[in-house]
Amino acid sequence: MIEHNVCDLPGIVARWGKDPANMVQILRDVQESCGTIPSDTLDQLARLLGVPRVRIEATASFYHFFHAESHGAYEILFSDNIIDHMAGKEALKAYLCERLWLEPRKLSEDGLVYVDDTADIGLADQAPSMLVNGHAVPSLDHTRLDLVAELIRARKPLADWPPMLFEIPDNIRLVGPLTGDPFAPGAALQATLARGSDATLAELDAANLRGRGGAGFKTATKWASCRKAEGDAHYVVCNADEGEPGTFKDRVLLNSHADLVFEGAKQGLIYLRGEYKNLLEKLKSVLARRREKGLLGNSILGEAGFDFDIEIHLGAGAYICGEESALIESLEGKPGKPRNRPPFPDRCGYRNQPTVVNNVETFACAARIAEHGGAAFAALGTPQSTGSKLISVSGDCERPGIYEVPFGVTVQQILIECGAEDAHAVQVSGPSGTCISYREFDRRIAFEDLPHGRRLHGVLARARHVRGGAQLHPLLRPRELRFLHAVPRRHLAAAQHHGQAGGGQGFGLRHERDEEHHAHPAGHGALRPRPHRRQPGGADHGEVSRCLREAPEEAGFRAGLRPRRRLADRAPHHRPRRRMGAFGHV
Amino acid sequence: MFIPHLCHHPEFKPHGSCKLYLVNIGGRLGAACTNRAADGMKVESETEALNADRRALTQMLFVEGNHICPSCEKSGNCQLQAVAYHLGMMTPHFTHFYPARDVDASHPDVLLERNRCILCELCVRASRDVDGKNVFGIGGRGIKSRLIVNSPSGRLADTNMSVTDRAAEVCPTGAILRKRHGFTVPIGKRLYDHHDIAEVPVAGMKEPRRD
Repeated sequence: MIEHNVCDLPGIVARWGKDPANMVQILRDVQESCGTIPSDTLDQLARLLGVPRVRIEATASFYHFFHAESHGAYEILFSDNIIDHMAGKEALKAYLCERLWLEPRKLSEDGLVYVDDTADIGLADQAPSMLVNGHAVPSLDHTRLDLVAELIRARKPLADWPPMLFEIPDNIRLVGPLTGDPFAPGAALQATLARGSDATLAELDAANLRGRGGAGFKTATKWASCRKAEGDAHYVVCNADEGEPGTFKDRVLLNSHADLVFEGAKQGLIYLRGEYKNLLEKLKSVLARRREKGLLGNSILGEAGFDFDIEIHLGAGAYICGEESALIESLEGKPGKPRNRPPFPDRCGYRNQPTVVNNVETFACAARIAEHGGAAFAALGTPQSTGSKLISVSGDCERPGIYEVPFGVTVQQILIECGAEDAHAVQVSGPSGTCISYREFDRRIAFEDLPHGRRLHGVLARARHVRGGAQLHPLLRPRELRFLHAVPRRHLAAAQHHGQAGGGQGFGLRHERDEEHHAHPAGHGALRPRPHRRQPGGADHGEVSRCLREAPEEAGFRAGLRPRRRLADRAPHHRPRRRMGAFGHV
Repeated sequence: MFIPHLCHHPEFKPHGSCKLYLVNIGGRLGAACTNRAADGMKVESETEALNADRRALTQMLFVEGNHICPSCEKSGNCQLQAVAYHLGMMTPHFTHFYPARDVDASHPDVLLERNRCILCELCVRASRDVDGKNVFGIGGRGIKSRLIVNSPSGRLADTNMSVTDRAAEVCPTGAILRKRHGFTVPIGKRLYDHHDIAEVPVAGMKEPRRD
């Protein structure tokens, strides 16, 4: 049985340097040791840290994983993403609740268990999944939930649960230069030292590496501008807050290719999303190993003055923190709300100092470029979108997982690879991305095509068997798929609410307007009051229904329709990992 | 010229949260209150497209709170109401949320009416930067965001708020009101009953601007 102890507040505060900027980390530790963050703890923290209580309360109440009331010894949070729904998450949740005799969002009468939903936890390839006290349990089915229910009723501590419950395969289906080639820790650093930092920046420039987080900003430009900016300190932040529903590429990179990422990120902080807590110990041990080898810390590789270290900060359940300025706010211990830009982080970021924020994958790419040079990198892909891209594929397909593909491949090629040749519609780059019908499957994964150079991760192949006698899942009905991306987040609900009431008619915002209004990639901080984004000559992306309506009319298509199978029934991993050369050259 | 806004006040650091001040700066949308003007910069504000967006945002502000103008003490002096008139908002358009929000009447001199709060953080800034008290803050996330106060009980009476604080008078809506001053000026004879907000953009300005 897990007992939550009275927590040692002064100890926790001291561990984080008595620095209010580490508030999120302090609150995480309090939550972990007490099970809750009680109101009087906020007062004690205010005294210990010398900041007003209201400021601590603002942070504590912002994050989903912090709560003032007890969630019992076992807090179970089901991942609530559309893929989980398609895989039967609601029924499984009801099943578990029934087994445990409780209602969702209500602490069980004996104070033992609490069951609720949480946003996508980055396991769409192993849906449905859940977090038990922050630890991910993937590929749920009745058997696994029976086991979980038994363990809970026996009050077994989480540490004694069978490890197989927590096993998370990488599911890398197609490898490329990023994931397939061996990497010797230190190789990129040595190459950088040998070449000099100016020459390395020039290589990055030649490689034309663009940010892999979504906006596609040129990495060399960002790094050069941050390097030039004046400040007492320069920070490098690795954005591992992979929150876009349906994405899990960073989880895999960090799990299996952490050295590659750390080598790119030379100094600074990693913001690891709270949902990936199970990666924390592993990452810490990689960091420790690198320190031992002289690849991190003071005088790296024996070079005097080359001092860098990396600290890991955990998030606490807030999708918005994936936006770079919100992430910086969160690193500073505040609610993760986007800042106004300009100034951009390269001039005024973490602690108001010049800061580079890049995605996990970008750092891995940068390390490869440092190792092999820019030309080798740019040889793959298209002129505007160089290199390869990790695509997270999930949903109604035979082989969900990670596919490393050269930029420029078509959606159709990926669908063939993942076993969804007869897909009706694909949601590209998560709910805030683009839904395309089969007529557009020849479109290419590249910054210049799909989708406007925004997020490229997350192809959700789905709704394949719509006509096979199966009901369209309610969440796939168009009105549920309305996302208003960058309107201040609290307005989002207003728009969605209205979408429900008004049926298919948008929100009254005119959506035939030109492009200028949504010119902000991942622009949480900027305003993009646009429920429907229209692409010249392309589909009106909000209209999933149209995509789905179109498909069954095609004669050739119908032949491919089979009765809908449950995702859980599909044969697992029956294809060995392959290399991406299969696409020939694009 | 007038750029509609609700969270901006010339005395305080720009905050950039109401998004009504959105302008087109050289082809990109930007906040008029946080972007510095520069030589050669081309800025558009009074376009039909921008005003339509501003109107929609104002409508969203109305439906996500409980703004019942006819019974509100601030009616006629309220900037939210005045901006809505200025932008020609005729209906709320969106479905009302009718959220359950707390009223805090615990303080002897100040009433906190969270139903009317638009989370502009002017009171937060005034209390922190001018009064040096940190009485207010914003708690929660997304649609659950709410105005919180600096006391373990969560009651305004248990903070060191005083009616003479700057924070007590900056609210653009009727969320923070001084007690015992209700309806001293009758509705119909108030500031925005006679002037468009473009003429008197800052609450508390005595004379309408002439330009």
